[in-house]
Amino acid sequence: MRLSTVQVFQSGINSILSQQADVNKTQQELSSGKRVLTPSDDPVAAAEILRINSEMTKIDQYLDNADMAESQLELEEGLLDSAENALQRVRELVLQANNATQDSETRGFIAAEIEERLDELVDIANSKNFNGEYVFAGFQSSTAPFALQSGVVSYLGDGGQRFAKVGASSEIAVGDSGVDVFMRIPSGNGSFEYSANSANTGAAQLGSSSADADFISDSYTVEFTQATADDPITYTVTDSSAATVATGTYESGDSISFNGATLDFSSIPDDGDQFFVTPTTSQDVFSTISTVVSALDSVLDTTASQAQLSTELSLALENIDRTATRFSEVRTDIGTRLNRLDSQREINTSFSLQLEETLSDIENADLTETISRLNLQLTSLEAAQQAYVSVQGLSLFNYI
Amino acid sequence: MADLINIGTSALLSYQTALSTTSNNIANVNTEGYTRQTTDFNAIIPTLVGGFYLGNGVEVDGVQRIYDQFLTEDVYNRSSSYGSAASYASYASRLDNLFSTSNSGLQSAMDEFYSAAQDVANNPSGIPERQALIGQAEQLVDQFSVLDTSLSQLNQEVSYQVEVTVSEINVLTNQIAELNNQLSKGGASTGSSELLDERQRLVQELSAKVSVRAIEQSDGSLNISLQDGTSLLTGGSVTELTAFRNEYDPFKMEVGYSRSAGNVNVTDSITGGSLGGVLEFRDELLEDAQSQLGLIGAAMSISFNDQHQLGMDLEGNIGQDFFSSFSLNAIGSSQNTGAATVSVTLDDVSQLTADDYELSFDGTDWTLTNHNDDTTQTGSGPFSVNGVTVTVSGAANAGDRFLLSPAKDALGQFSLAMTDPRGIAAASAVRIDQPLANSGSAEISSLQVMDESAIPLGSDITLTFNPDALGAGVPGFDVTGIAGGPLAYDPTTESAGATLSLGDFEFEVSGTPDDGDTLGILDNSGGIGDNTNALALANIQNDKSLLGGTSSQQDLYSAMVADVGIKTSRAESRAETEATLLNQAEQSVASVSGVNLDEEAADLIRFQQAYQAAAQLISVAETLFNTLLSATGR
Repeated sequence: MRLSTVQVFQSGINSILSQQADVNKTQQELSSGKRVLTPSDDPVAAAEILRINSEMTKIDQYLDNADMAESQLELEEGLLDSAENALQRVRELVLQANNATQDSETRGFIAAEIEERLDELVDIANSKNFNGEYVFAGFQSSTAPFALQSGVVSYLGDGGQRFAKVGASSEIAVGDSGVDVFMRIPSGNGSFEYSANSANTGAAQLGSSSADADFISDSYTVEFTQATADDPITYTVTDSSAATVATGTYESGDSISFNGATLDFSSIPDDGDQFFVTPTTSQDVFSTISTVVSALDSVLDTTASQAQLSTELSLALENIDRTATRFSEVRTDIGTRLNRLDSQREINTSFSLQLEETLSDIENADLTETISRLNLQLTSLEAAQQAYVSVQGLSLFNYI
Repeated sequence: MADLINIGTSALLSYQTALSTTSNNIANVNTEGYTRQTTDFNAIIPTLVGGFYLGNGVEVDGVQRIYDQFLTEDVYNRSSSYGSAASYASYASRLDNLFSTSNSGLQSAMDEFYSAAQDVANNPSGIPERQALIGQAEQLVDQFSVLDTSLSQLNQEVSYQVEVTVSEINVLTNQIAELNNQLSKGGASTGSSELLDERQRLVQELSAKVSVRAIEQSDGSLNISLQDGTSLLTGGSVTELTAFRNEYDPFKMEVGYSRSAGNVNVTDSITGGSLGGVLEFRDELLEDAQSQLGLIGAAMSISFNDQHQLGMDLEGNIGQDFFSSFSLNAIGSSQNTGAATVSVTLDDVSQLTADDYELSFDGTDWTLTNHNDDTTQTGSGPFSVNGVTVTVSGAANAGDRFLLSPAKDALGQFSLAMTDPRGIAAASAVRIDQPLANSGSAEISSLQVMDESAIPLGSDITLTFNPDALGAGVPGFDVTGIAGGPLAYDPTTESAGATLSLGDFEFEVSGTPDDGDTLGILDNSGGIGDNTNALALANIQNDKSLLGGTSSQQDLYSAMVADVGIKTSRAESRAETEATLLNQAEQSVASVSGVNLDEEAADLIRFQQAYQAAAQLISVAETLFNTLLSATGR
């Protein structure tokens, strides 16, 4: 083919220019270490890089959230541990008080210590976290949730429970409201609670109770009758509609069972003494303990009064046991959440590593390949330049 | 003898011409558009002498311009294609650079913003966390505005480019018209080679700006029209193009020509050349990117505001707008004569698309046309399309029209309304109350407020369980504090959980309530430790509610970036291909018409030798003459 002189020059220049552009591009890849510099370099990869970067930011945040949640849950667990210890001490003191050898003075000492434990429990329940929020106040986090006034605790928080997002579809509760931990606790044995009629004159007392699955929830009255001292003691159990559900004779230490409930009595009642069984309600640990204190303070040195105290303390022990159960339930729950946090953290971390690997596969330049490509390009650029110079030297005019 | 001298002289003159043509070729070796010339020789008609024809020497038949019409036209076409691809690619790559991976501005601003929302959820009453969220929101707004500004600047540059190119086109057509005049005076065959070269060069330059058809007329002049037939040049008369403002958008330039009745818009007929490329870039990439970005902004500000208004701030007030609310506009054409006004409202951001719409009146009916898919609705309105309601009022005249770009409207208006960290509504506006006095196990969970008009509550809502709430033996909740009760709920079958709705509230009830147990929904007063709404706000990030429930905000953004990337990379490879094709076409022309110095050197030697030989003829004739003189003069 015939070539024009300008064409020869131009094509030489063009090939040098395009080689230079290639070298420049490769150099950029090398200096940034990245294969995809603008979306047009690889549109699909560019969108993928955006998605992965965004996903990694989210995971970082989930990990931060998990750290935050963990420290809050650990704080709560520590508080519950202290609360359990205080409660355990109260339980021991109540057991100690429920002993016939105590007199009013020793009961006074016990009452004083129990009162201190009560204050301690209230303090624990009013603890703040590192953000200055009350841990057990629900959403009312700037209000001290438990106010103790002359032995009565009122709850000023609410039932709110906060969650933290620790995974794409995983939210974990980072606290428990005070009402669930300290207040909404079933009373008695969980099915019913009991009390002695304050007009009782006998020595009979209720030491413990139990209920099986057949328990029919209702209010019952157990009344003892003994016409003369020689007669056997009989009892009659009536339900809320005054219908008799059980009758029988009683001797000291007998248990009385009816409608799935079992009451363990001891000592001898007087004629007409009554005990009441009522369905379980919500108790709170503070008023349970306050009741113990006031019962200890107000007991008289009479058989009847001490029998009533004993019944009351027995019920208080059952209430305290329910509370201890609640504390350990909550702690178990916290433990489960901490486990979930750990496994979620592992999932997040490994996902993040995986994403990083994918990102580096997509985004990063293969250095070996890029460097050898650069060398190749430089070689052909040099070749083009040499060819240009030598071709330009050729002209027929050199010979005429 | 005389013949010998005559023959020698004719040869000397002819080779002088040939040498000068060759010199001219050499001299113009670097002249753009120069077509090489060759000298054609012709033997002079012989004379009959005594029964023989004796030759009379040589004459120059003509100086030939060496060119190939088809190759030249191919160069015109390739110039148009390349001009279009190159200008498209150069603008596209600037857009592409805005979204370069090292500068992932908007995406990371979005990520950081939602992360900050989660930090608020971790400590809802903490002022530093709230301050940080507002800081991140400012960052986000900045990123939007940087992109918005860059895109508008690009748009203005496109408009400027259109204006400049149109005036360059006019200069070229005028120059060609001038050459037409000169060439047609002499007739096609006698046209000066240099003038033809010049005209060819100008047509190629014109082709690089806009694709044209050039048709040579019998008088040697060239008629030029756009590809759709719109005449730019007939003989010596030029139809000048003008760049004028779009009827809706004064910053957008259209191309047309003026008639006494007004400008005739030929923008859609412009193909090829740098003008075609830049218009294609504006239509296909730039405006699309603006709409897509606007859609993200609209989605973000509306979704976030809607959720924010369902929450409660640190002062116990219901959440205000977090981002500024924005208004949608219908822009009336500058040529409207009627008094109609059009209002546009956004009902459902999840249905909103990046589409533009045109609303036009034909004298009886309005027609709403979607520019993207050309679907239409006709009637008197209101029209409902993709989450937008369009209402027309007032009297219009036939031909009146309006442009609606709901997504793009949002772009310029995306800004932050919230400045007070205490104003961030991290808490839910309502909370659930389960009184301690309940003896049953019923509880409410997953409480959701469906509309901000329901909050704050007029009075506390109380649900009281009643085994005969809906008639004897049909259990449920009696409701006070809100209309809509009683609610059916049967603990024997639904204790695992039943979703109930009451007014604008939706919640799940589970468990077994006892007769008279109550459940409450209360204003969340004092609930500053609540992070429910902050979590909901942070969750918007993952919410695939846009484009009819298929995309999240991030999906929209990465789709947009991928779209820009795909179009840019396509444009760049097209520009490269077209450059090669143009180069090949030019090579083909050059291989026919270009000057080769070696060839000219050879010609130079050839003609020089022939000239020397012819001079020798004169010398021989002189010697012969002298021989004769000396023989007879004795």
